[in-house]
Amino acid sequence: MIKLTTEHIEEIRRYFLADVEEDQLLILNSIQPSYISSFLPQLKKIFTGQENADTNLISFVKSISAEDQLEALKEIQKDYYTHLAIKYNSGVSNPDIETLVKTNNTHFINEANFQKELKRAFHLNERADVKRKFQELDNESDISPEEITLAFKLEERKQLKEIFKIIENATVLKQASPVIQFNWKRLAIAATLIGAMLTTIFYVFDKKTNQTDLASVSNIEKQHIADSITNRNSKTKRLTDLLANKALPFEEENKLVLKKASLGFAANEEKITIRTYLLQSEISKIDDEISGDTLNKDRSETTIRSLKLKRDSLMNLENKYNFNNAILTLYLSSKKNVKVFKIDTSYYLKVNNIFYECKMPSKLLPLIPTGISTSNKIEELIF
Amino acid sequence: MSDDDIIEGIKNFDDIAARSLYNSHKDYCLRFMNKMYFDEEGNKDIYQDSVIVFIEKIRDRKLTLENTSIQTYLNSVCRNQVLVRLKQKNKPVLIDDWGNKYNDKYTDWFDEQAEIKTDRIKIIMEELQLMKDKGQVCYELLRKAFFENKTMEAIATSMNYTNADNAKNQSYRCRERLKKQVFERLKQ
Repeated sequence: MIKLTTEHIEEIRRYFLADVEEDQLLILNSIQPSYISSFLPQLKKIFTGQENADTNLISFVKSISAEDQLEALKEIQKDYYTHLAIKYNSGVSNPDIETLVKTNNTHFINEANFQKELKRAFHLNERADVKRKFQELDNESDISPEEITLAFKLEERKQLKEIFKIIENATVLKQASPVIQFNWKRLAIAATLIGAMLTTIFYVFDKKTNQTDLASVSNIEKQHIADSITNRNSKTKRLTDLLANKALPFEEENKLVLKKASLGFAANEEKITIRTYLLQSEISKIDDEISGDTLNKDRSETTIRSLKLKRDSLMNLENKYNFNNAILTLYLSSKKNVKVFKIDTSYYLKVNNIFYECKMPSKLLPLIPTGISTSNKIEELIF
Repeated sequence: MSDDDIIEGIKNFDDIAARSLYNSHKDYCLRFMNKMYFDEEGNKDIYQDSVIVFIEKIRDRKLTLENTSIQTYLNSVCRNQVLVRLKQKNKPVLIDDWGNKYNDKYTDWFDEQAEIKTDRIKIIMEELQLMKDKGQVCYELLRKAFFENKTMEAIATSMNYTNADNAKNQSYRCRERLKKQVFERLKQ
């Protein structure tokens, strides 16, 4: 007798797990050697038998000297129950299923029940999954309170960063040497020196123009000579005027210093004179001159350079202040509502809606916004 | 998507169909439920469950819409649930005038018996979830074979098995493994 091989076991498996009867018949007729096909109905009887299927299977494999294939056949038996249970739960029946149900075969019934539970478990898991997906769909088409809060937070963060940048820039300016000194003595010396320099330049170039190598002088230099001659005095005057701020518009008013105890009506309340220079209009005028928008103005390189210098100086003055000769001088871009406060011995300014420290310095200092707690304290004074 | 496309998509476990089903009928259902009884969260819950009921009925082949739109079906199911809940709370209906936008015969809901989670069911659910979280092929195989009721040929094609027999053998191996894990936990 030929022993049952792995190939035979495979064929036997295919037979039992075949979906349709025709396939089973095909396998039955094709299996080699042909006597093995006689094992198949015997095995079917054992698998669908009422009881002692295991014992019967052991006896069977002994009878065909195929004890080494016992485990493989047990495997086929289990798969066969699974296969029939799937059909049974789908509402399909056949003689084998009917026998198993009729004989109340424990293996088969347990397998069928397990598969029902498996299906239900999938259903319930799926339901939870679907509900979760629906919630996500709802969230996609809605804005949550948390998202709104976050949007506000990020916007606030951006604004704070911009304020910090302004403070940083003001700190850098404070650390740099001032462009313009406002000491009258030094002012006069500087004006004289500049005048002398320009006169010298004029003299040297004037001499040079009389020389035969005039042709070698570049156009720029020629223009410079011309500028020096015609604009020497007006340029000096412009610089001097700038330094003296005589050309800059300003407003001056006496302001009451608001304190905790004051209501502003007592005759002996502290007052302070505030002179506010309004820089923007001057800066705009210079911009127009630089861009050539103003007619009949000279447009040489030197002139442009000096105009730019003047403009930069004015821009550097913006948002600075000092306190000299009992006058608090503010350099602002344009007219703003200014109030002065005093808490204990410290002074503060409110320019439009922002609070600044006011140290009453003699030299120019940038306006630095106060912290939120200080602003709140000052607000209490007003309200 | 048309009603027919949605139904076909639902049968094939198509996510896009499920999304379309949910989104395109939601506003109408919520509007009239809120008129009956204003409970935003509760009514949204009813709507979600109604859509799930519809999906399950379609997949189990237990529902055929004859001359009825999906919207009417969902309106009917939602309306019925609102009435049930109002009755339980002894609250009156505020407005109940929907013309012909609902049909009294559609009162489907979840099968309460099937809702009971026995210990065994809970353990099977947990083990399946574990399989899914670990990305195991067994989960897909079991799902297609035992939940989606796909044929072995279809499974073999979609999961790149050489033939249907291999797919079948593999799915049975997976089932055995799951069973072993479940019964081990039941013994504890």
